[in-house]
Amino acid sequence: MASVEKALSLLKNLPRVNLGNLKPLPGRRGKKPDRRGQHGGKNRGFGDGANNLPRMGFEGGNVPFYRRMPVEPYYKDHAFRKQYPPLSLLQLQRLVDLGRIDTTEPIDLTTLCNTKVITVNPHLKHYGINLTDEGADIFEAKVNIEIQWTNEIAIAAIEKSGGTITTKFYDLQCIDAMVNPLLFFNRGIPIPRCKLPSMDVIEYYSDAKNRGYLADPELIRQARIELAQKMGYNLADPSQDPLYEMLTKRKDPRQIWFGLSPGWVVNLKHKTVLKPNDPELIEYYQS
Amino acid sequence: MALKVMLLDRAFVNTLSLRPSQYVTSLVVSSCRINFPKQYSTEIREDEDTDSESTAEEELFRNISRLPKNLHRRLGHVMKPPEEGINREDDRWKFYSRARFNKYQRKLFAKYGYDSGVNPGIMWPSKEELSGIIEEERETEPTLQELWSQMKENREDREKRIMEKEKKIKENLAKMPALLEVYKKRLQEQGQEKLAIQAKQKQLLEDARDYFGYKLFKNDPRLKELKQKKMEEERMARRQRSRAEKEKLHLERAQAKAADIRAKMEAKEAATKSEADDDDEEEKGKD
Repeated sequence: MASVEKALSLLKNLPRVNLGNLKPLPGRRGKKPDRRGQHGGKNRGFGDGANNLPRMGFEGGNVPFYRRMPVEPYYKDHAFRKQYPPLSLLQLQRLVDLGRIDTTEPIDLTTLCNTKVITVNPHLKHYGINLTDEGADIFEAKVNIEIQWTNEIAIAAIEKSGGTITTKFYDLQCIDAMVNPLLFFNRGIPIPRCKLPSMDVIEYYSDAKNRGYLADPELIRQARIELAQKMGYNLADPSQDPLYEMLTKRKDPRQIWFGLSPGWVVNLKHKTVLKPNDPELIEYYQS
Repeated sequence: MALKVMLLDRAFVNTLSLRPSQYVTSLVVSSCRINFPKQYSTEIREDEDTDSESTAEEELFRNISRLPKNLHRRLGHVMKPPEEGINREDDRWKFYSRARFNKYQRKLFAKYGYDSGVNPGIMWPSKEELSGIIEEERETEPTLQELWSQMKENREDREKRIMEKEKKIKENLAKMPALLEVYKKRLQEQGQEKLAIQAKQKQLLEDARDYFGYKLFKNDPRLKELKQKKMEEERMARRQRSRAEKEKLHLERAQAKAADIRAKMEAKEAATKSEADDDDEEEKGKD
C-alpha cells in the first residue's frame, strides 16, 4: 500500500503535461522546409543539386522527340503510285437502270466519265477506274465493260449476268483525252497512241485471271470457265447470244476509242476526221 | 435645230489652252462639236445604200452587241477567225517558241477549221520532231517482248527467293525439337541451381536461429559472420579428415612395409634353420 501512496504523491508533485514539456513521438518526420520567397527552403546556387540534372526531355545525346523529324514510310514513292478511283457494281447497276449508260454499246472510260458520276483526273495520277465488288449480289446488267482495275468477284458478277469484262491500261496522256474528248478535240492534236503498261502493272494486264488485254484470248476463255466453276454459276455460251458481236468487241492495244485510230485528228467544226498521209507517220502510229 | 458641226484637231484644242477633260464641256458651251467615236456620235450621216436589203449573213453577223470587232468575232454565232490572220513574224509571236505558235495554230484550226487559214499539216509532228520522238521512245520505252521477258525474270527471282526462304524454314524447323530439348534442360538446371541456393540460404537462417536463439533477417551482418565461421569449421573438419586419411594411409603403408619386412625376415630365418638342419644331417650321416 505504501508504494501506491508513494507513487500518487510523486504524481501530485510532478509538473503537469503541457506544450513546454512535450517531445515529438519517436520516428516522426521533420517539417518540410518552406520553399517560398528568396532563398526559401534550402539555399540553392550554382552547382547545387538542381543544376546537375539534364534538361527536360534530354535523351542522352539522341535528337529528342520534340525535335525529331517525323518518319512516314507508308508515303514512300507516293508521287509515282498509280491511283484508281473506285466505282462499285452497285453504282454501275444504278447508272444502267437510270439510263445514264447505254448497255447496247461497249462501256469504256469515256462512257463512265460522261455520266459525270465519277471523276478521273490524270493530274492526280488517276490511271483509270477500279471496279469494286460492292453490290455484286444484285448486279444483273449484261454489259461489255472495259476497266482499268478490278477483282475476281466483280469479274464473276459481270460474267454471271452474261457480260464480258476487259482490263486495259492507258497512259496518262490517253486518260487525259478520254476523260473529256471535247476538250481534247479542241486542242487540234492527233489521237495519241496508247503506250504499253509499265513494269509494275505489266503482270496484271498480261494475266487471263484479270481478263487483261494482253492475255491470250484462249487462256481468257479457259479462265472464264474456271471462274464459273469456282464461284458456282452457269456460264452462258456467248456465241449463242444475239449481242455476241457487241459483247466480243475489243479495242486494239494501241487504240483508245472505237472507230478511231491513233494519229487521226477529229475536227468538230467540219465534223471530219483528218488522217495523215505520210508513210512515216502512219508507221509510227500503227506500230 | 441643226447644230453646227465642227471637226476639231489637236492644234485647235491647244489654242484654247484647255485640259482634255475640260474641252468637251467648253466646246458644247460654244455650240461646237467634237469628233466622238462613231457609235456615240450624234452626227447626221446619210446612209449610202439604205434602200438595198442586207443579206441574211450580214444580218446574222450585225454587231448589235456594240462589242469591239476583236471581241465580237468570238461570239458563238459569229465564230470568225481573227481577220488579220496570224503571222510568226508579228510582234505578238516573235518572242514565243515555235511550239507555242504551233499550239495556237492547232487550236485555231480545231475551232475555225479551214476558215482559219491554218495549214492542217501542223497538227502532226514534223519529220525532225517525229524522229526525235521515235528516238526517245526507243530509249525509254521497252517493247512488249522485253517487258514480258523482264516480267518472267522478276517472277522467277521472286519465286526463287520464296523457295529458299521456305527451305531454310523447313531445315530450321527440323532442328527445332533438339534445340528445344537443350533449352528445356538448361532451364531445369538453372532452376535446380536456384533451388539449391535457396535451400542453402534457408538452412543458414535456421542454423542462425539455432545459434542465436531467434530469427534473423537475411541481410543481417551477423549472418555473414556465422557463415564465415561455419565455412571455417567446415574447412577445419575437411583438413582434419584429410589429415586422418593421410595418417591412415601412412599407417597402412607402414604396416604393409612392416609385414613385408617381417615376412622376409621369417623367410631368412627359415632358410638359415634349414641349412643348420642339413648340416646336422650331414654330420649325422658322417657320424
